[in-house]
Amino acid sequence: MQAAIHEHGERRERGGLWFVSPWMAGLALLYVGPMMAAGLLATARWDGQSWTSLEWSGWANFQAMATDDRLGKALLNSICYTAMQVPAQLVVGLGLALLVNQSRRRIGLWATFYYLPHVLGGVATILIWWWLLNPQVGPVNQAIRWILDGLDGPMIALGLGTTRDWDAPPWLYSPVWAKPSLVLMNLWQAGGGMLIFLAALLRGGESLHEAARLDGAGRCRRFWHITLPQVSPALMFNALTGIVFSMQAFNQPFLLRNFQQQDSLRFFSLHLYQAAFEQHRFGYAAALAWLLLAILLAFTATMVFVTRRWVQYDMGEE
Amino acid sequence: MTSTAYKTMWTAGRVAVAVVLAAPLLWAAWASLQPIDRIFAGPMAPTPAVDGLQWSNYREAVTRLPFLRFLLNSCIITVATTIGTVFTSSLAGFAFARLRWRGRDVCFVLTLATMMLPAQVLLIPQFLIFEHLGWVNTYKPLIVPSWLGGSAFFIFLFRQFFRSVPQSFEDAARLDGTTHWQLYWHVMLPISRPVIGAVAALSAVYHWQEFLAPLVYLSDFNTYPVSVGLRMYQAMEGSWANLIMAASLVALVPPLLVVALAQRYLMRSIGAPKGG
Repeated sequence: MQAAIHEHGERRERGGLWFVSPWMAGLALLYVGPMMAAGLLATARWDGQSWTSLEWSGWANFQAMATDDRLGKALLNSICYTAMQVPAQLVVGLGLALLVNQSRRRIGLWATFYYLPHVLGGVATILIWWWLLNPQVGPVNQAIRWILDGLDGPMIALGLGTTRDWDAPPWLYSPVWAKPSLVLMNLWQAGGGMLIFLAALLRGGESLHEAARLDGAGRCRRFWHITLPQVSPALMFNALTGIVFSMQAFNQPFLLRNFQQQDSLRFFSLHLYQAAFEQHRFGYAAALAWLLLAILLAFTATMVFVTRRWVQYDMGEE
Repeated sequence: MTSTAYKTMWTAGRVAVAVVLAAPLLWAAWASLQPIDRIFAGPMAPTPAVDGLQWSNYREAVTRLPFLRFLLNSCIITVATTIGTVFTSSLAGFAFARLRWRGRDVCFVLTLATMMLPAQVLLIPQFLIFEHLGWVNTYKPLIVPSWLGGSAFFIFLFRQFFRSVPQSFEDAARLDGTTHWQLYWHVMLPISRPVIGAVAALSAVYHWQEFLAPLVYLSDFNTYPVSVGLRMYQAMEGSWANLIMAASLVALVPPLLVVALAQRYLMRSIGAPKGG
């Protein structure tokens, strides 16, 4: 009997391994292998053509970063963009979640509708926004100009000057407005963050709100002392994933860059892509990838550490 | 303010947001049916009735570049990756949830850790590995990874679902002497419709829109998927706003359809909102 159980246990073990074997192969081929290769490559000079052209160069790639003046600019661009993008996404995502959560019976319907743009994140959407934000004929600027025209009369009447001197922003065709343009485009897709916030709100429930209301707490106090703590794990999750994704943003800057922006959409990922696939400096690009990983790890660890007292992880659990 | 007034205000807010969210696609639809000089003429004056709509834009949009070819390529890639993702990530999820084997928990933590790795760190070494396997300019670098476990997030979704299946299901099957495979194939998969639906939909939408990988791996434009095809469109015919809008909308139809079909499953698996 003992032996039979043992035998069964043994069989179970091997069975389990069969089931994960595709994933194991994937882990080796797609993650562990490449990570190790990237580590080695970061210390080499290689054009990616033939093995004979590979030469070890020690720290040369990392030293080259110091003299790469476009790298500093790219890094700064990515950080500025992330600093605008993440807070905007958090505020609008939470706002949408609160709005949807007010609907008692049709939460699912509204959530689905608001979530839809989030899944339409490809090139097609970027090209649609490319024209929506066209400074001359795009509908966004047409609407802004129409509003400015309408305001002109009242402004003059109130003695505040005229709106004739103002114009709608040049969006993607200016170094100042290029990054805000991307942030604006991405707000259309804030539904992804909303879904995470909404799940946290629904888990949190209404009972605390009811009790606080009976004690005479106003809307602001209830938001600050109940809603925010309830969604704090979701806030943290959205902030971290937001930072990781924004620092890697590639599609938008790649597709929407132009001469008038003067390099303001030259993000870190674009710099890395060009180093590898346009200049064929694979060793340097691998070193850049490691730099990105180190920056993201440092960001993440700092954020988790700084907010550890405030984020109420236990309230996020079932 | 009374509570009815509040309710009306909130509903108005929700409707307003919905209008704002729908507006970009509505404008794209309008623009896709206009002659080009109509778009450049400025303000969106009311369009003269239905006969003013230029449906031929769509024919032109799909024939100027081999757009139907791009659509077909995207279909091939999407179907192949989605089947692979559902199959292999459900296998792994099953093993993590219902089987006991040495190193299981360590492996699961490793799986979750891969989610934290930025794609760009892996892009270059993956490219070099695939290049030396002779896979560049084929669909293998795009398809094979999804047959190797898919993404950690999908494994996680399957694991969560399989863990929630009552032990009695498994025990009943075990009494009949079923193997692991039979348990997976005949007991677990048939009851996993919601999670299969969610994973298949998310995977399909993701792979349909994937841009960087095909950009890096494919160089023959006959093999381009829609995403890279649209990029070519932008580069070559960018000023034809009406054709670009038509092509973009055509490219958005499949993801919209997939999400609409899988809506119930998606909300149950990733959100949690009930009702609706």
